[in-house]
Amino acid sequence: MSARRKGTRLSADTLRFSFDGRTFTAQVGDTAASALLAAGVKAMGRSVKYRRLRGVMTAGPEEPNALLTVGAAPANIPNVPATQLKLSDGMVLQTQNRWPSLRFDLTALLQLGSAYFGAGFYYKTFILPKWRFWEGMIRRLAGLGNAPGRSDLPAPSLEHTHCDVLVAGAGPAGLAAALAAARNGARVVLAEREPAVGGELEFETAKIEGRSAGEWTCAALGELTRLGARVLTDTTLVGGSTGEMVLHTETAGMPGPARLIKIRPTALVIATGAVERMIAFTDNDRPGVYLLGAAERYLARYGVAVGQRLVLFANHDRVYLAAARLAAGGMTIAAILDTRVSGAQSDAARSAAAELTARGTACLAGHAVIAARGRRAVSAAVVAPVADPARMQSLACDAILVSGGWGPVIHAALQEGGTKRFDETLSAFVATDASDWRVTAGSANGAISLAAALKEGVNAGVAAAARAQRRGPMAAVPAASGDPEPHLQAYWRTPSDERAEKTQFVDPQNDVTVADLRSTLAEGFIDIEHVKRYTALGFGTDQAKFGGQLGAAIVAQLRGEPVPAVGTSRLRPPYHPVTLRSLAGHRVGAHLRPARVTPLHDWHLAQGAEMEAMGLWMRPRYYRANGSNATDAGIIEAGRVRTKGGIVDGSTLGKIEVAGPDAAAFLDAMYLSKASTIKVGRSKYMVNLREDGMVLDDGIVLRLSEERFLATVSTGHTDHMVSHFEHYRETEWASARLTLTDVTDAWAVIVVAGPESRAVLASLLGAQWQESLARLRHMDFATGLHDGHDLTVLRASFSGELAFELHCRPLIAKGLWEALVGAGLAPYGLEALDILRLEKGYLVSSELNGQTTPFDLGLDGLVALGNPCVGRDLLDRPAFREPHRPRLVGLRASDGKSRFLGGAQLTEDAVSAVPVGYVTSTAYSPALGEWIGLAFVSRAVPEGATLHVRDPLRGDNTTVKVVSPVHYDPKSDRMKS
Amino acid sequence: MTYECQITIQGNARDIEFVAYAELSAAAGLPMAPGAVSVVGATPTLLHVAPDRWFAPAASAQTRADLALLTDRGSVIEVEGKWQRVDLQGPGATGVLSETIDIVAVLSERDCAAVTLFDCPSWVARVAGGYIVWTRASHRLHLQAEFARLTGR
Repeated sequence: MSARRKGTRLSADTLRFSFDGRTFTAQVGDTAASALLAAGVKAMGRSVKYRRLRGVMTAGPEEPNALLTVGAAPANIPNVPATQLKLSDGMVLQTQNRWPSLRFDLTALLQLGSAYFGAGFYYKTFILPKWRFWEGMIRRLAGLGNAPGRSDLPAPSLEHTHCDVLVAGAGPAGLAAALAAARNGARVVLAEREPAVGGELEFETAKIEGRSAGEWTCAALGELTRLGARVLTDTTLVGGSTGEMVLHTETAGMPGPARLIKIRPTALVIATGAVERMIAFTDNDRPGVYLLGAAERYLARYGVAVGQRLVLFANHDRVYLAAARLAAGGMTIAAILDTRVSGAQSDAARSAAAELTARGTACLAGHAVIAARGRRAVSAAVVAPVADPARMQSLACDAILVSGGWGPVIHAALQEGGTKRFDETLSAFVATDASDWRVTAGSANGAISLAAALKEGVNAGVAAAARAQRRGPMAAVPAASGDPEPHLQAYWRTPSDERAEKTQFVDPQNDVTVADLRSTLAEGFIDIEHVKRYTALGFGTDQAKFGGQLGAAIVAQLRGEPVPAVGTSRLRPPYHPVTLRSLAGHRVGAHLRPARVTPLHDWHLAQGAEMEAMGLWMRPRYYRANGSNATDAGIIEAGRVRTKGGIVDGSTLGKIEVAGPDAAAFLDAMYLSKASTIKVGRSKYMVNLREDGMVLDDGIVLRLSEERFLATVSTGHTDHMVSHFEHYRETEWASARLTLTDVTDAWAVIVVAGPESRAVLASLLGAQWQESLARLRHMDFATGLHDGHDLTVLRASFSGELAFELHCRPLIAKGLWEALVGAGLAPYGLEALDILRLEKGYLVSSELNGQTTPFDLGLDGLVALGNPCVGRDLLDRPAFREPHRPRLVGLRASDGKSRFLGGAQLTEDAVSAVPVGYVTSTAYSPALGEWIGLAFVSRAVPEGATLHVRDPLRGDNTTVKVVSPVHYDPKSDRMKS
Repeated sequence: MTYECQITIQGNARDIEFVAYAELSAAAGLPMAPGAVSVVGATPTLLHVAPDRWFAPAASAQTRADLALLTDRGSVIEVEGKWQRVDLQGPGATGVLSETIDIVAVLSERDCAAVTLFDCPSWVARVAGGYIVWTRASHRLHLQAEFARLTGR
C-alpha cells in the first residue's frame, strides 16, 4: 500500500471511487483531481469541439477541462469540475465528450476535419445540401456532458439574512478586513469559496506578526469566532446588486445539498483574490500543462506532485519562489523560462534562482515555451529565446507549469455597476469607483504582495464598519513578509506561424484558439463582445475566468491596440455555475406556486373532483363520477341543474367590503352605474371601466347597510380590483371617510341553482329563514345566522335558473354543503358552470378581455345612465362608435349539430382571408341539444347572418348563424320565478 | 435542512379588522406605533399591522366594545375565517421564517408586520419563544406544506 500523502486538506483515512470503470483509492479530503493526479492519471476528458485529450489545468473553479459526470443516468450530474469535487466513498465518476472511451475515442476523428470547425463554422460550413441535413448530427456531438433525466439532489435550503459587513473572500485581505470590522463591533459575515480559509497563505512561505501564515490564519479564525463573526466556507458570492447579495454554498464542490443565502449587508468588502493566467503557446492544452499556482496548491493541500520533472514558464519573479517550494516538495525543476530578458528582479527571486541553478535548474531569462510535445501527455517542452524563436531546443519534462500573471476577480464589483481600469504594473484590469457601500481589497484590487493585501484589508474593514455606524480605534496593519512583488512584464502568447496558432488555446473549454481570434477579427467582428459571441470565448463553466483576459489581450495585440482599448466582455452572474435546482429552491412540483384552496377543497378531492388551476385557485372542473372527461361530465352536471338543481363552490369569488360615510359615493365613481341608489338588502349587477373606457370587470354589489357594501369581483381579477380601488382610495379619495377590506377568504360561497333550490334551502335553513326566503326577489338578499355563524342568502343567478348564493363563514361551509348534497342537490364543476352561463349569454374573461367597450358588450343601457365614473369620459371617443367595432353575439351551427370552438375566426365566406370576428367561447348545450357559442363580430354583420367558422389548426370548420347571445330562457322567466 | 420548531395549526377564530379613516389619538386605546402589539398576558390582542389597519385576533367582548366606540373614525370588519393562525415555537422558528424573509430584520424595530411568507400574504407577530403567523385561509395548505417541509414533519 502506498504511503499516505500529507496535505493541509487531507486526513489519513482512505476511500474508494471509480473513474471510467476503474477503481481507485483516495484519501478523505481529496478532490477528484488531486486523487487522480496522485494515481498518475492525467487525462480527464476531451474537448468539446475537436475532442482533443485534456487533463486538469487548475486547482479551482476556473478549471476549463476536467469536467466529470457524477453518478449514472438518469440521475447523473454532469459537468462537475474535478478540481472542486470532494470525493466520497463509492462515488462513480465518468469522463465526458468521448465515445466509446476516453482512450479510444472515435469522435477524436473530428480533429481531421478541424479546418471546418473554426469560429462561427455553422455560418460558413455544413450549408450544403442544407444546414438541417447536418444539424442533428452536430447537435448530438455538441455540448458538455449529458443532461440528467431526473434529479435526486436534495432540496436546497434558502436563508434570508443581513449583516453589517459582508466580506467575500478569506485570503489575507479578507481575513484582515473581517478582523478589522469585527474588532470595531460590526456584525461580520465572511464567505470563502474554498473549504478552508487562508487563500495563498496555504502555500506561500509567509510570516505575519512573527508567526507562520498557518498560525496567523488559525488565530484570526479563532478571534473572529469569539467576536461573533459568521464564517462560511464552501460559500461563493455568486451575484447580487446594491443592497442584496447572493451566496451559494455547495457541499463537497458539487451540486447539493446546496444553500442559497440572500444577504443584505450594509457594506461589502470584495476580497475575492485573483486568478492566475495562462500563456498561449502551441499545444498548450496537452495533459501535463498546468497553471503554476495549481501545482503549488496540489502539493500543499494534497501532497500531490503534478510531475517529476518540471519546466516552469512565467513572466514574473514569483516563479523562482514557487520553483523553490516545488523543489522542496521533491520535484525536479528542469528549467525556468522567464520571458523577461533581465530575469529575476528582486533579491528574493535572485537568491532563489541562484540556489536552483546550483542544483541543476536551467534558469533561462528571455526565453519562452514555443510548444508542448507529447501525444497523450506532455513529454517535452520546445523552448527558444524570445528574441530568436528559431533557436529551439527540446527539454524533456512531464509537466509544464505556466504563469502569465494574475487577473483580479472583479466580477462582484462590475456586476454591481462598478467600472474597471487597466493596471499597467499588473497588466490586468482592476475595479474602480469604490462606492460608499462597496470596497475592493487585496489582490482583487491589484495588491498582489502580502503586505499590501493586509493593509488594504484592514483599511477596507474599518471603512466598511464605519459605513455600518460601527467605529473604533484605527486598526493596526499586521507586519508581514511573503512572496516579493512580482515585477511582472506582460507576455500573452508565444508568436508563431498561422498554422501553429490553430493549436494555441486561449479558452480550452470551448476550443477557442489564437487562430480563431485572428479569423474573427478578419471577418469584421472587432468588438470584444462580438469576438466573445462569435468564438464562444468565455462561454463555458469557468465563465471567462481562465481565458477572458488572455483572449482580450491577444485581440488587442492582433488589432495593434493597447489592451485597455479592447477591454473585456461584460461579466454577469452567477460567478460560478449554480444548478437550476439551487435557484429553483423549494419551488418545484407542488411547491411551484402558492395554490389557493377553498374551505371545501378536501371535500372535492374526497369526492373525486378533477381539480383545475384557475389562476392560483384550485377548483373542481368536474366530478369523475359523472364522466371520464370534462365534456361528458359537464353535460350531465349542467343538465341536472336545469332539471332538478345543483350546487357549485363559488368561494373563489372576490369580495371587497367597502364601508364608511363616503362608501356609496366612492362606489358611484368606481362603477358604470350608481351604487348609491341600491337599497339596503338589495344588490345590483355592476360593471367597472378602466381609465381608458374599456371594460375592466363586472360583479354584484350588495348594500349591507347605509354605509356598508360588499362588492363582488371576478375570481381572477380580485387582486387587481383591490389594487384598483386602493389606488383611487389613496389618490383622488385620500381624505374620504371610507375603508376597503378584502374579505374574499372570510366568506365561503355556495351557489344553489335549479328548480328545487328554494325548496331545499327552505327545508335546510330552518324556520328562522322561511320568511326571508319566501320574500326574496331576484337580486334581494337576507342576512342572519346559521349554526351560530353569519350567513347571507343572496338571490342571484349566473346560470339562468332560480338560484341563491349562500355566503357563509368558512367554519360552517362544509356542514351546509353536505346537507345540500344530502338533500339531493349534486355538485357541479367549472365545466358545467361554463355551459350554464354560456346558455344565458353571461360574460367571463373570454369576453371581458380588456379589449372590449361597454358598447361592444351590449351594455349601452348602463352607459346611458350617465354616471360620471372612472373611464366614463373616454367612452365618448369616436373610435368607440366606429361601424367595424365588435359587438357580442351568439352563434349556433347552421346544421344544428356541428361543433365549433373558441378562438376560431369568422369570415363571410369560405375563402375570404379577412375575418369579421372571432369565437370567444363555446359549449355543447344539453338544454338545447347542440353546440352554442358567443362571439365578437363586426357591427356591420346583422343578426341572422350566416358566417363561416375558420379553424385551420383544429379543423372544426363549419357555418354558423348569428343569434342573440341569450340562448336559453331569453325572458329570464326561470331565473325570476 | 430541517429546523427544530413546533408548528401548531390553530382553529377558527372570530377575528376583527379595524380600519381607520380619520385620525386617532392615543386615547383610542390602540397600539399606535407601526408594528406595535397590545397584549394581555402573553396573548396579542391588537396588532397594528398596516397604516390605519389593526387586527384583533379572536377579539374578546372587551375589544369589541372598545372598537365599537371608534366607529365614527373607522370601520369594524368581521373577518372570521379569513385568517389561519399558525404558531411557531422553538429554537428553529427564526430559521424557518428566514427561509422566506429576513424576519430578524423585519421585526428588528417592531413586534408585528404584514409580510409575504412563501408567497402567502400573512401577518406575523413575535411572541415569547417564537412567532404567530396569520395567513390568508385560502393559502393555508401551501404555507402548512412549507412549514412541514422545513420541520421534517
